Amino acid sequence: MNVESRKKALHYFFGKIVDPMGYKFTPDQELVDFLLEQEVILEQKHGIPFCPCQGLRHDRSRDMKIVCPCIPFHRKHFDIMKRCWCGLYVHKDVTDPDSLPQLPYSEADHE
Amino acid sequence: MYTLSTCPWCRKTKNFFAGHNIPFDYIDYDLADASTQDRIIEELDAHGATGFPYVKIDNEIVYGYNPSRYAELLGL
Amino acid sequence: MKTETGINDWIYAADEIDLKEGGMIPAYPLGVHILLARVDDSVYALSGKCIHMACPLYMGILKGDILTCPCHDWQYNIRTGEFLDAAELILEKYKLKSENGKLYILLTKEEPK
Ligand code: SF4
Repeated sequence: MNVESRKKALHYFFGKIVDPMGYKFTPDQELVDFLLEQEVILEQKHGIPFCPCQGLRHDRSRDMKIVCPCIPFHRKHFDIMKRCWCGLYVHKDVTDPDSLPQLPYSEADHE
Repeated sequence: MYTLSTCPWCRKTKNFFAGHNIPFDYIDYDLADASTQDRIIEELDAHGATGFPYVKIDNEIVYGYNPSRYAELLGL
Repeated sequence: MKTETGINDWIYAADEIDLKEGGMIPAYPLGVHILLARVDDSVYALSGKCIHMACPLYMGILKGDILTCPCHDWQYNIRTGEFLDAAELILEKYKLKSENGKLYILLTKEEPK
């Protein structure tokens, strides 16, 4: 399948999943385009759209927790940052995604 | 620094260093061989890191793209 | 006058005998992909496709009341359809009835005609 149409398919699938969890695609269109493209390439290589920003460990139970969208498995961390690690998804109220830093869970404000 | 070839924040990190003419070493984890990957994972796990980029400046670790922290540590 | 079967009717889905204890089978009433599962002798009818990427759930693993998708290991409670790691994500659940060894399903939330 060609990359552009697969990107559209993933956009459709994943949009429906993140919405009930309070997330949306980042308004940064360029980032959405880049990340979905990487996911399609990873899917072509591994058969699975893995996260472009987290490393595969070749351990199924851990790797399945970094298949996009991985929000359910890293919810607390991402909710604090208001974005997922890659920044592909942000909380619905976010309009300025560049203001959201990529924080390690240990340093994030756990209030 | 440890990075992924697929990660936009890793690219930004490399660009930050290159843009300030600061020499740096990097390994793209996803393109590395198995033993290098194991070593990197061990190091990341020890710091509770789950994603990339992972940058070492002297003995300080900065995990996640954080240009202001890089600047601070590099005295920019 | 001929009346057509629609989503407001009880529609035949499968024979009771084909659904073993602890087992799962797919059914396609009116072309809708359904998962039928039997746990502790109760039968459940849920959407047959994983919320994540629409993988066919009947090919997954059922252990007790936990269903694991074959593709990326997303896990659901077979009784409620809830995804275990995010309760907002829930598989559509359908009403069932059994008559004379046959299972019938209601594809709508409306009361049957
Ligand atoms: S961090 Fe974001 S882009 Fe990466 S897998 Fe998780 S949800 Fe997808």
